[in-house]
This record gives sequence, structure tokens and C-alpha cells, in this order.
Amino acid sequence: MNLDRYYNEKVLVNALIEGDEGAYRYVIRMYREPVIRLCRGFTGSFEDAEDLAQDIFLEVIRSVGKFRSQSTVSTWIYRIAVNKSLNYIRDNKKRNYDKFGRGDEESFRGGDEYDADIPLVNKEHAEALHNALNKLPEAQRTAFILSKYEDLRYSEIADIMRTSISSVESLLFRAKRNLQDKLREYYEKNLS
Amino acid sequence: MECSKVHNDLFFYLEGSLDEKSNADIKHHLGTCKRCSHFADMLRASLDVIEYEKKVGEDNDFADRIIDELSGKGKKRKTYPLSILRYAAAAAIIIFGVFTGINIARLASGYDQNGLTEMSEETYYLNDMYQEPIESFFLINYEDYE
Repeated sequence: MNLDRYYNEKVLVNALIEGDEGAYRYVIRMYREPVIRLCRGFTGSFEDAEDLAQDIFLEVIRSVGKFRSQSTVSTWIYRIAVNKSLNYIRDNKKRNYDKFGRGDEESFRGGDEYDADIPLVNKEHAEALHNALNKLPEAQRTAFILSKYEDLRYSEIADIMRTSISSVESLLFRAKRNLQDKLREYYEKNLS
Repeated sequence: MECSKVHNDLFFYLEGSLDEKSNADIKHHLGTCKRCSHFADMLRASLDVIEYEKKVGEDNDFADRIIDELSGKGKKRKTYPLSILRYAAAAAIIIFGVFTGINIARLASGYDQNGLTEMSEETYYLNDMYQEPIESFFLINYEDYE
């Protein structure tokens, strides 16, 4: 199936609205990897990220009628992905907290829950990273994940987060400082 | 250079975004301070995790699953969240326990639906009031049986 005609965003959006299966496949092919990467940054688990990505694409396709072309399709999909990921984390936080309850620590996941493709030696670092990420304020966490997992430019992050480039710079600066503080706390508590 | 200053800038040092002088100062400090050097190794390992997690493998069925779901042909991907299953299992165990308890109690008391009391064989063994006390066992005069 030739999907090249969907390079034009207007054509793509109209085709999505009309229920064109080729357009669905094009969007999924183009954005599957970035969306799963983003979700993985939020969840720390490939399996959860894939499930979440599936929900995100369903939402993208079902709500394409609301797309007003005030941003690019890419920005719009990222916004849906960020919102869905944050909602997923809010919904799961308590469950995971109960599951791995560690006093006052907001533990998000446990070592055994991490993906099999991560080498064993890195599992404890993955746990450390996601515990620390999970403790960051949502805006800092979102900016950090868009920057480090997606390698997006400050201007792209600003568009997705509907904020200014200077705000993104500030969010990232604070995210990195906070992240290293949380990681230091974690390592002193667990691995020293 | 103090350890606290290193801790503040370590992330920026590892991602190579510090100016030349700060970079050299931290590098020198890490060469002399075992504690900060250890933390730098840990922090680097955590950040390396991001590189692992960025790798997304191929999945040729991914689009098909979404399109199937859109057309109503898709299998329900998720059944019930684990927490709901857990509560349902706990409720089932409690209900089973309560009904079993009621039935055992009914059996033991010899009470039936008609309000009549009759002692079945099971009743006898379940209700120890009917069983012979141990004291009476010792009072038995075995000579009577001979």
C-alpha cells in the first residue's frame, strides 16, 4: 500500500476523519516508536508502554475530528500521549505504592517488574531512575522525558507543553538537579 | 572543590554541558574523592538505562491490533485489572467460608429447616457435647466387658 500521499498533513487528517485504513496505518507506522518510547519513559515497562501506546492511537484516531490544525499532527499526538501517560501513572500510583509499599517512599515499580531486555545489572538502576523520575513534579518529568527519551528540541517541547522555550529550559534545569538529588537519596538508602 | 558543589553539577558534567573550567574541576575532584566518584558511576549507570529503554523493537501486528479494535473485531486486550481480580477472589473466599461455616454449624447443631432436631451420624461426631468425655473413659470398668 502506497502511503506517501499522507505526507501532506491536511490530506492525512482528512483521510483519518474519513476512516481511511491506510491513513491509520500511516500514523501508526510513523509514530509507534516515539509514542512507545515516551510511554516507556513514564512507565518504565515496555509491556505497559505498548498497551498504553495502543490506547493512545485509539484515542488519536477516534478524536481526530477535534483536531483544529493549530499545531502539527506530531505535536497533537505527543500531547495526547503525555496526557494519557500522566493519567495512567496517576491511576496506577496508588496500586503500585500498595504493592511495593516502602514507608514514605513513593515506589513506582519493583526490580522484578522491569523488562527482560534490560541486563540484570541495570535493573536496580532502572528502578532507581524510575523511582526518582516518579518523584519529580509532572511538568519537570514531562520536559525531561520529552528531552531525554525523544531527543526533542526545546522549541518542540515548548509546543507540546504549551509553554515558552525559557520555561522549558528552566523545567529541564530543575528536573536534572532534582533527579540527581533523588538518585543520590535512593543510592544512599538502598545501594550503599 | 566541595563535594556539595560536585553533587549539584554532576548531571550536567555527565551530559557534557558544563563549561571547560567547571568540567575540569569536577573531573579533578572525582579523581580524588572516592565517594563522589562512586555516586558519579551510579548516576551514569542510571542515565544509561534511558538508552536501553529508548530501543523499541518491531511489532508487525501492532497496527492490526488497533485497526481490529476500531472495527470491533479486536479481542479485549485487558481483562480486569489485577486489583479487581484480587478483591473478587477475596470476596469469593469470604462468601465460601461463611456458607461453609453456616452449613457446618447447622450440621453440628442438628437443626433442620423444619425446626426439628434430629441427630445424624455427622452431628454426633461434629458436636463434641455428644461425645464421651475423657473422664468417663477412665471410669470405665473394663472388667465389666470381660
